[in-house]
Amino acid sequence: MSAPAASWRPVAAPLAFAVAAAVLTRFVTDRPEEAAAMARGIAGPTTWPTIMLYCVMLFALAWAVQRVALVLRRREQPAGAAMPVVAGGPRVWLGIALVLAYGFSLPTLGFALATFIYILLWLPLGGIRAPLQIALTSIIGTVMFLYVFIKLALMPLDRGAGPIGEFSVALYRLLGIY
Amino acid sequence: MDVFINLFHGLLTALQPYNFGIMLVGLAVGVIAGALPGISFVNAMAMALPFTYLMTPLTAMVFLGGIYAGGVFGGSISAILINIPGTPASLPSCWDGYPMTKRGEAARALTLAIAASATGGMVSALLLTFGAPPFANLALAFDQPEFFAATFLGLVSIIAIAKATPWISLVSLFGGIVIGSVGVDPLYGLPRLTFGVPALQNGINFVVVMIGLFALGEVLEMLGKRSHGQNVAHGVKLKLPSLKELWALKGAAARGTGIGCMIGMIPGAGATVGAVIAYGVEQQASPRGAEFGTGVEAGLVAPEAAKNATTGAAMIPLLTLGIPGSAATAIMLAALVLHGVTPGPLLFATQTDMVYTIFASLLLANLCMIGAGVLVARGFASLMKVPPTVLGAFIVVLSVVGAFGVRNNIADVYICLSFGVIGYLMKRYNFPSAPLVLGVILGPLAERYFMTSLANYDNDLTIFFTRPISATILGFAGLFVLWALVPDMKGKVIRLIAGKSAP
Repeated sequence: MSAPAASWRPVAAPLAFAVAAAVLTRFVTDRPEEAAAMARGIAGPTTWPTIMLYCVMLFALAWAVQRVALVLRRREQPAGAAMPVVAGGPRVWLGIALVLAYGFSLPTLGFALATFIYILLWLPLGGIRAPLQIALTSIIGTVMFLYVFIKLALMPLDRGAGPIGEFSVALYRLLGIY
Repeated sequence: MDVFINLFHGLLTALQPYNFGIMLVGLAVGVIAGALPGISFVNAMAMALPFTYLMTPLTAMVFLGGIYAGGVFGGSISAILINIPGTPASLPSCWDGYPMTKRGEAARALTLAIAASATGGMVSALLLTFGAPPFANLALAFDQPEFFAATFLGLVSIIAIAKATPWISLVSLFGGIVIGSVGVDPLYGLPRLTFGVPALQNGINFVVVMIGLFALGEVLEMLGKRSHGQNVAHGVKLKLPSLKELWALKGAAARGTGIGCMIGMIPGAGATVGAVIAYGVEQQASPRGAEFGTGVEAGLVAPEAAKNATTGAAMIPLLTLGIPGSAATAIMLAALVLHGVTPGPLLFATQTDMVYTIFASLLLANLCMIGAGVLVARGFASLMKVPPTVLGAFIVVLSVVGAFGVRNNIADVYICLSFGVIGYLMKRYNFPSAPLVLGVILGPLAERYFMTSLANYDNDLTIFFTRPISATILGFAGLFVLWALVPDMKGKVIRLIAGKSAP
């Protein structure tokens, strides 16, 4: 990385927080006239979040000043504070995509099918290669969750849309959950 | 002397097989519900409420008391073993309990937590027995400014926890408070920071944030490390810590218990505030304060003792004044009212047997919690034998279901997953997540007390400093900040002077 790029990087995060907080103070409510009419003295519906956003701004600026001071003094390697401390890599991003896909597919695929597919894909991603272990863990895990959360805890988890919903109901009947 | 006789009678009644059995069932339900993320013990108490119709008022209170005592502890099991706080009050248990698990000391962490929780709970139950009436007067003196001051003290304790990175931690804390204020304003009914998204009008629930940040963030980190072998806590065998070990932690347990008892008596403050303050105070008081967050026993024992010490103390305003200080005690009040029992000073005179049986069963519940806690923790600990990849997959499913279960709302799942990604990024860039979670938990409480104080006292900001108790608590908060920061600042000044004077 070039030296100029390295010099602004330590203050980028705190300044981003300060700017985001400053921008948010303008959008605390989309009905500012109503908020103003409700306010009595300093107390109003937007008072608390606005004060808190100003606090975020203030402390983010203090954080930026601290970073700048560290750069100027060259006491420490300030960029290190923003360097990744946790392992990353494509597998983690694939994991994030898989977890998000699992959650967002729940209304469409239903809890049973989405959970089964999710576990089936997650295990190889985590390094498990034995097909039998993957298949058994996915099936047993899904059935266990169905029993605990749908049969015992009676949670209204999504069954899925259209034919998948009918499939889920048939599966529940087969397992004795319904 | 009357107290001892009444307590003895109470113990005899509580030990009757039916009452004792009901208490054990409640305890088991509480520990299990507390240990399962997303299914809080408060939910378990609410679900158990209809069952109390079939019971006498005394049995109902014994049952709910068992769930309460067990549930407050139960949250720490998942916090210590898989870094998911089962209840908000178990948040500090993640900070030093989970690092112990990572070090392969899960059994030690769990047994210390059980012993500390039981100690705190029993001392608190004794306080309830002997000190209820005088302390009730203190609780009566609390109004909205005092509640705000107590919550503020809880927020301030983050200074001690995060003094190494104060500005980032404060950004994180206030960011959390902002997140906590998303949704329809409770006083005025106006949506705030919702940007026209209907799902955000219900607000962002702290449990959802907590599950996302801690559980999903941890799982993604685990995936990055790609260790699909046996987990660190393989072969957890639970045994109670030796007396020598416990004695060495007596200071931490005593401080935690004291703080928990004091905070528990304040209606509205609750176990979370007590546990967080106890952690902050312990970090200052402990000679190993600088190592907190790396798996220090005192950092686990103090908040554990504090959160269970709030259980008995929280029942003081409930039984003596009829003021429920938390959701759990509100359910207990509902149970009493459903059975035609009116809590208050008269209760002690007219239904002495019942009152002292409740005290005795709370004592017994905390004693039996050691057994129940060991059994449930052993069951949970067997999870640790599962390879991390499989465990990670199950934690994600558990987190998704837990987030959904908070309000049976799929939007909460999306919010939880979003915070999971944020949690991972926070870990990746070393941005502290604990202050953010604390802000999301305590922010809405602080806002409610702050705004109602202003509404009740003509928008007078000085009310927080002119009311003696509020001013005293805020004074404590100020002293706490100084106590936390002065040694560090002094060290920096000395280093600066030494650096300048050096040739």
